[in-house]
Amino acid sequence: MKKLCLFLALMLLVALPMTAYNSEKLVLRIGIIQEPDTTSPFIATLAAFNVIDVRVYDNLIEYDDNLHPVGGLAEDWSVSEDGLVWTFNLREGIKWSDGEDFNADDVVWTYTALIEGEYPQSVQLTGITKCEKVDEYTVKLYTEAPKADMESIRVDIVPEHIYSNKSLEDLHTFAEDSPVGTGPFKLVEWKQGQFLKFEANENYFKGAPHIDEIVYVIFANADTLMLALKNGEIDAVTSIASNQVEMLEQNPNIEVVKALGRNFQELGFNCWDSPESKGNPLVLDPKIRLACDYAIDKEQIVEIALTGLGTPGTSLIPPSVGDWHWDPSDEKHNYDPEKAKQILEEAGYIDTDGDSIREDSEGNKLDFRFAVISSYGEAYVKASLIIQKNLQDIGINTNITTMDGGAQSDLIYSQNFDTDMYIWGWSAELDPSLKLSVVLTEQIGKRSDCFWSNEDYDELYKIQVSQVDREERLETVHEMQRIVYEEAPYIILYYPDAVEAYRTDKFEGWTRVPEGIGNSISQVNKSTFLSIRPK
Amino acid sequence: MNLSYLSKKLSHSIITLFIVITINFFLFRVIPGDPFAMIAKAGTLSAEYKEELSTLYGFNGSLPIQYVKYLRQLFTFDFGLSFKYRKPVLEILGNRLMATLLLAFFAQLFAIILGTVIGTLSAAFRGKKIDVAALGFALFIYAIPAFWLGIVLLSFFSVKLGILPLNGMVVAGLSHPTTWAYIKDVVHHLVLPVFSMGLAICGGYAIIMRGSLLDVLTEDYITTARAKGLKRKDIVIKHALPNAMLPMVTIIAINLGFMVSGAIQTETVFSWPGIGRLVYEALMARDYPVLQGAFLIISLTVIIANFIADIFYGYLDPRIKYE
Repeated sequence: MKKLCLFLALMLLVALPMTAYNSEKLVLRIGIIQEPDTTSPFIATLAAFNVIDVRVYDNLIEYDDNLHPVGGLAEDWSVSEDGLVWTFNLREGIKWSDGEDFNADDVVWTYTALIEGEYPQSVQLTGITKCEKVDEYTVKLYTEAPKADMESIRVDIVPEHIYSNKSLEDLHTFAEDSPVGTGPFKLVEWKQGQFLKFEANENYFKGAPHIDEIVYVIFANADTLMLALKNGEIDAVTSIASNQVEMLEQNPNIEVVKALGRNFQELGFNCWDSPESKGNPLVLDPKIRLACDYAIDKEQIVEIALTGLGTPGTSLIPPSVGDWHWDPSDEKHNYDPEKAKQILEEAGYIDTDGDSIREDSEGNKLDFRFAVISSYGEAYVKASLIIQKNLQDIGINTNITTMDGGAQSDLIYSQNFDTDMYIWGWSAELDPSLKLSVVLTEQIGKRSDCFWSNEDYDELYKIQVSQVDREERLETVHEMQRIVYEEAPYIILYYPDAVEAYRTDKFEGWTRVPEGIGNSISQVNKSTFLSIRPK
Repeated sequence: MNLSYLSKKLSHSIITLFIVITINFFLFRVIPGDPFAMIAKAGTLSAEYKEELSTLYGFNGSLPIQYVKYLRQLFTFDFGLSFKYRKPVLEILGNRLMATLLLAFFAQLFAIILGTVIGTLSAAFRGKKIDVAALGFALFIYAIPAFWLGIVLLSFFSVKLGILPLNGMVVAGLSHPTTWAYIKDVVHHLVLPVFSMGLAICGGYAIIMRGSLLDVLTEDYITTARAKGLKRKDIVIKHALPNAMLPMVTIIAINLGFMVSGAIQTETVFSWPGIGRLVYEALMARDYPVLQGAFLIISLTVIIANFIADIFYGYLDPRIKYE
């Protein structure tokens, strides 16, 4: 008994003193919940991979704080008269984190591997046929047709001297523990489930960072993440739950940043016009979908599902992406249930038997199945309930089934699209091509989750891919969004805000990209991480 | 200890393991949710890419062929590649398993000791105030969800008092100068999770201990001991307790088997990098190889724990030897 007490007392003595972090170094600590899946740009598919690649790697061209393309590893570039050959002049004097020189061999190796093989970043190089070394610091890229989004390519350049002996097949599994990169930080330790630790690269070509280390601390739940921010154990968080915003705003040492998000969430429909589809054929009628757009109260959804942290949705390309976004203005489908009912009546959907559900001329009811993912948080479920009520008011009945993301994926892709409507979301890139492609006929079964097909839209897509003249391309891209808005394979519900928070007492130099309205931490460039310094 | 008893128990365990391995394999090919579709949502997946990945993961060939391949790989401890991380499953499971074992072992130890003490006190002073208080406490603790207890303890010790850490197994990113410093850091982070999980478990132990001891205390030989004039303390601890421990050993063995999987609530509240969290994340991502590997390990722990319990019985209870 005595021995037990002694043992316990000893344990207590060992347990209680707090271990202090080595206070000589300047360490920026950021709390996250999602950790990356791998260190290799040839394998990574999770968005969380940007924790690593924005710190460790560089691209040929980057974005400045106003989202304009500026030189990264490339100093400048030019394109030939016919638009088919791009020449990039690379910066000299850049070193890899292991001391080797950066030069054209690295760019050629990276681009060639992505073109010849098939990896997550390969899609950005669609249309590029070859990457050729001209001399030590010059490369040429050859394209089949003029490539409008060439300056938006964000491909991580990897070191040829590390990768040269890897076959295309090896790249599917090869991942360095501490990847060699040209970037401002080097990943020195990654304890899965616990943290990622980066050390500053003194020789970074755009200037050494003003801090010594960054530690991304992985939390398993949002509550302790907030508590850690509040008591100063971490300096920043990349996303906040909506119910935490008010509490954090009241703290004098914490700054909450509400940026225009680059995501959207949509109500998608089963637009698969095929005998294989297990969807309700009534959903194929664009009039019904259009009526739904008028019937849904998107302002209310933003209030309730997002606690106001978002903007009601309209077109496919979010407003935060800049002028690519098409504003319907006077063609806007405002919340107008009466108009919705009118559209349905005129299309021949009338409630003949008084059960508040409309039927078509053959007696088929507007009774649809609605798949809702409940594992992404509450917003989807709350939105779905409001939608259900809105549709009920115009005579459309919906049956909600909740499930997780994997099950919904399975329903659509592996079970012949065995549902009629669903809610899902996308995050948008700064160039509109990729997002515009998700409703192409050729993407049915791949990127497309609504399986919609419209020949005019497909044609316009092919045109805009090669429209190097920005004014012309804007027109085409806007027209494409108009078509999607009218045919409504997707009803864009809202663009959620990207809400971050950071402490203001230890560090200063937090920037916003784009200036004034954008993110401070999850940025498209390295802005904050190069300017952040101790107070 | 009878050799035939030992070998019989061993062969039973091996057969059970084999059945588990087989069920494990088929179970994960029945779950809805194609892992490739998860990746497709993120970017692009052409037919060629899917083919390459299928070959990489061994999805080619009919189910029986995949099964044989799976068995062969198991013999070389090749648990395959994780879909999500593209790294060997064993590597991914390894570290996380150690973390959970550490947590679960000490939590069980704490729970067993506390549960035994409370149960013994309760039974020895049956009907008195100590019994009522102890039993009440045990029932209360037994009913509380582990995560709630964890959050409450966190709020008090971490937030209000600030003497114990909020999350993790070590201070994130800290380079420990010595192994002793590392051990101290881990112990420091282990205190709350162990206390939380241990408390949550001990209720069951206390109640069973109490019931079992009460049973034993009504036996004739206990009455004989009292008649002989032995001290109450000696009767309880030296004579009654060893016999009352048998049902406890059963429960402990069962719980030890589940201790690997049962820590997920605690791991989530305290951001403890254990295998419970890993399994949950793998489930969401439809990472079959990791799930298969984890489930196999959990089953193995249960089988081993039961085997050890069987051996223990052989020692504790002389009546079982000649089975």
